[in-house]
Amino acid sequence: MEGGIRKKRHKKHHTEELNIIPLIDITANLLFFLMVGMDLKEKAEAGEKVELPVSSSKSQEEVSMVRVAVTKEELLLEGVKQASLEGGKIARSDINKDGFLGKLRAELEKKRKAIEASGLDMTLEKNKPVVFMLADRSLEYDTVELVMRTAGSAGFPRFRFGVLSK
Amino acid sequence: MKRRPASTDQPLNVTPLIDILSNIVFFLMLSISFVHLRMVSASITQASDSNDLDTETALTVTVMMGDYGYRANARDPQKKPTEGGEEKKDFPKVGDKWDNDGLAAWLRGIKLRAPKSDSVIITPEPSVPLSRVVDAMDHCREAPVQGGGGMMPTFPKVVLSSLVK
Repeated sequence: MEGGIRKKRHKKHHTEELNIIPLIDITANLLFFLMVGMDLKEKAEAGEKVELPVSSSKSQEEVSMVRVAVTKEELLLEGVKQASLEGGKIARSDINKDGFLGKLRAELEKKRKAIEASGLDMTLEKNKPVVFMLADRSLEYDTVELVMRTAGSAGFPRFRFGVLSK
Repeated sequence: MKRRPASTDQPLNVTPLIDILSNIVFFLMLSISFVHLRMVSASITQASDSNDLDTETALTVTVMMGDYGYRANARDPQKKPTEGGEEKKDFPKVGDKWDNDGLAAWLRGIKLRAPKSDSVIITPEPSVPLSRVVDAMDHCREAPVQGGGGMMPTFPKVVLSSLVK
């Protein structure tokens, strides 16, 4: 009887070694593709509050850009709040007497001067400063236009609107 | 007392590794966005823009947007409007629906007559939502080729303007 139990125990310990190499391979591949597909940057900057317009555009060009996000509540430049929105319109207190967004304009002017100081040839098309705008699709044009006009007055007359592909 | 040497032939315990990896995968999948962000180019009117236009060959194409729908206009700077230098077309809204296809087809016709023209100025009214403006930009940028068979670029350079307040 005792001998029988010992035999059984001995059988239990006799297991084959698990080959984990295929598992690690697959997981590493999965991680790689997930990280490539990740789009955390846009999410963080827009705060996931922006419902982007839909477009048939296929453009995904890589140019140096200043990021502006316009949600229903606030206007952000590189993730930093520049103005508030009330009912989809920019708060009057954020508009200066010239009809521009004072804080945004000052910040953009600083950025433009920094670009100029870096010695980039601004006459070249690829070096011309561009604003990448993530604006909520429900915003009225006059809100977007005020942001664009302010950016234009600060030396950023070119824009790329972030859109979702159809 | 002598210590037993640590055995080296024990099977590798992979459970913590699998736990950690499955947690990482879970958080990555939470943070992933399957959204493919694209871009639509636009610029605003500038004093220097007029120098870029080749007035010898290019038409000035403008599209106004409002409650009335689209009001499109193509003007040849070399001719007077009375000499056939201007073509106008209205695309009224039907309910909430904008006549995007009509606008694209008209612009395609203009493009075929003036192939060197590549800029359009869109002037939306202040109350037009951004999604409609982007739609208009899409339909100004390219149009379906007549008789089917894909899209042709029409006016890829879009300039956004605004009505003087």
